[in-house]
Amino acid sequence: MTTPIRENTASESPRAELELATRDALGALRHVAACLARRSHELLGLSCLPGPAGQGRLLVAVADDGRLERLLAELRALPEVCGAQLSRAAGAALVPAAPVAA
Amino acid sequence: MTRTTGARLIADSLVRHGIKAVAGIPGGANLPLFDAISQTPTRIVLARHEQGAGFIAQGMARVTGQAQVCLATSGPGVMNLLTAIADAKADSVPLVCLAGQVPRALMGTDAFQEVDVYGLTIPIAKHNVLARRAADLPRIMEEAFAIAVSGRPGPVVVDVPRDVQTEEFDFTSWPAPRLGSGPAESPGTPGPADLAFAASLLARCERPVLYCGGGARGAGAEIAVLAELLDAPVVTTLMGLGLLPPGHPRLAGMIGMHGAPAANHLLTRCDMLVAVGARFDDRATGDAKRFCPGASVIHIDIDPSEHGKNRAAHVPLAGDAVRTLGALIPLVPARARPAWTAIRASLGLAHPYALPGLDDPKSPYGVLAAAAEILGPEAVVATDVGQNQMRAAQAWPCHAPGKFLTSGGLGTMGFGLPAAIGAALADPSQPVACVTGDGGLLMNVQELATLAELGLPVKILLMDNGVLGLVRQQQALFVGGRYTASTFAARPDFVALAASFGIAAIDLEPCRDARAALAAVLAAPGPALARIPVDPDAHVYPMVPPGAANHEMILEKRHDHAHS
Ligand SMILES: Cc1ncc(C[n+]2csc(CCOP(=O)(O)OP(=O)(O)O)c2C)c(N)n1
Ligand SMILES: [Mg+2]
Repeated sequence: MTTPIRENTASESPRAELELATRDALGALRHVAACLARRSHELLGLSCLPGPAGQGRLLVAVADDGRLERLLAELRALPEVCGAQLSRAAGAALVPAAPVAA
Repeated sequence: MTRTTGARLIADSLVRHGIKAVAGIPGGANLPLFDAISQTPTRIVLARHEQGAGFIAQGMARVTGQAQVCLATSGPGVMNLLTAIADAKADSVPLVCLAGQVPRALMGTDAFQEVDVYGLTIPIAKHNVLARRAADLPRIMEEAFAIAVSGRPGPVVVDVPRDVQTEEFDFTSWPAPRLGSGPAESPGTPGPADLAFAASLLARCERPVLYCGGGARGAGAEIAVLAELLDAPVVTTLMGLGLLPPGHPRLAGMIGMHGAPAANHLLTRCDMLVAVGARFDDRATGDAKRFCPGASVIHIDIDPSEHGKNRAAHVPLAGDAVRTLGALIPLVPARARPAWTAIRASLGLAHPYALPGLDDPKSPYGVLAAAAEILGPEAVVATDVGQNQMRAAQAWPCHAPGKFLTSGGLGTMGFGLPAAIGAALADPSQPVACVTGDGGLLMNVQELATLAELGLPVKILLMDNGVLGLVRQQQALFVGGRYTASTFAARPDFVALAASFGIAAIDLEPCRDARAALAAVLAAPGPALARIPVDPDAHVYPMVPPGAANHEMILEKRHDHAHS
């Protein structure tokens, strides 16, 4: 197995949508954005949806450059995020879906 | 139910978490907090710069393995703390950093000494939180301590507006901390299928190497068992020093930019790399594409986001090193690998590794060897950054994890002195060596005052070469010998400097019996500084040039440019 080469081919890659359940919407938004920026992920879209009692959801569209598993692991580790999953395949619009289990 | 204030609640939580000492500097925005802590058994250590406070707390945390606490006031206070926070993140050191903030009504108005602590610390802390109400503090403090030590440890920043510190509320109980949802916070052991797959690869491999970093800290015994079963050598990173004691038959030394040649060569030849609590940092791997090129990789790490970051793993195992190895070991068949043993022996002969001047206590390596021998295997050493650090990593015999404190991930000059003070605070019963350079000592020199005040047995071994040695070495080797901005034209009299703080100091340069002089310094009670003159053109070898593969390390004693 070779070492993955990190070249910026993201714009040609398919896109993926991540769905995050959040505890603190602003905190989650700032941390998720910082995480994407720190790891040079290409952000394609982001929407933040309110939920009951301080809970909320973030829908994050990113280019799928083969690092999604790692990105999810990193997002799940954020204390502001209480659930993270791959939402659905390429091309999907950022519309509300059923909430993620915390 | 008791009536209390935010500040008192925080002070109580420090006591509750066994915090014996905190380091910090007061200011307008954290006066209530200092006042509250002063009324508890927790000792307040007044640092002379917040970066010093951060590294003092780090020193305590690196030695004890427990979260420790530093404090800074709003604005400039917390700005000064940032480097120590980033340093703790890079080396996975558990810290709770308590920042004062302007009162809530002033937040967002560009008030006097207001900075966005939350925003500033997002990329450099493991977790950060702004306390909006005193009543939230029981949960915030429980979570801060839990998050700092759980999973992969790291720094947590709690930003507390002044009026939240003084706000009264009814305290009922300490809530159970709510942690992140990821396995990094609540790691189990990897699944049986992954463990079985890893074991099958291990059974089949012919040339295995165990590559261990700071995350293997508690797993020395398990590492030794696995190495025995596999008949494999163990190499460590800078952060993994002390995992196995010197002379351990399985220990093959430190790898990386200034690692042992035979250890670096072993990696090129291995067909199976078991990485334990190591993150394939570029200083350890050299050119990543040529690091263990033919090897399958089993990567054990408590932080699953490390898997596949710098190197794809055939088997990523997410979990605590001790428990994961404990589950893996029973599945691994013991097998001697005589062909690999023979290759290792021949690599050892082909790449011998002797540090120059080990028997001369006036030489940089010799003084380290002498000090380590005089202080004994229990001693803690804190290093600064530069040639002094790399020489210490090469020469200091490290007998256990938590005894070699160094800024590995961030490489922060100025780390050594305050970290040594922290280590001595954690255990004042035995001397702590501080190996530092003339550049790095000046970066937190103000902490000599803190040290003098505390009277702790920190023994500063100052490698005085009049230059930013490691920078000069790179300029000699890779910048055509043009020494730009790396030579100190003005050189302080360090002995007089230490004396001016009330610290005993000696210059080893004129000493006839340097070893005896050193022994006297190390044996005397309280702090001391010993100056060791070092040749500015003495390079640290071996050295892997930046961007080169580890096996392409430079070994020659002097480079042409060094004389120009
Ligand atoms: C805060 C900080 N600034 C700059 C550097 C870059 N740097 C790395 S080693 C070094 C030289 C260190 O000089 P000195 O403390 O005298 O130690 P020596 O290498 O001479 O032993 C410098 C400037 C750094 N690591 N940290
Ligand atoms: Mg120097």
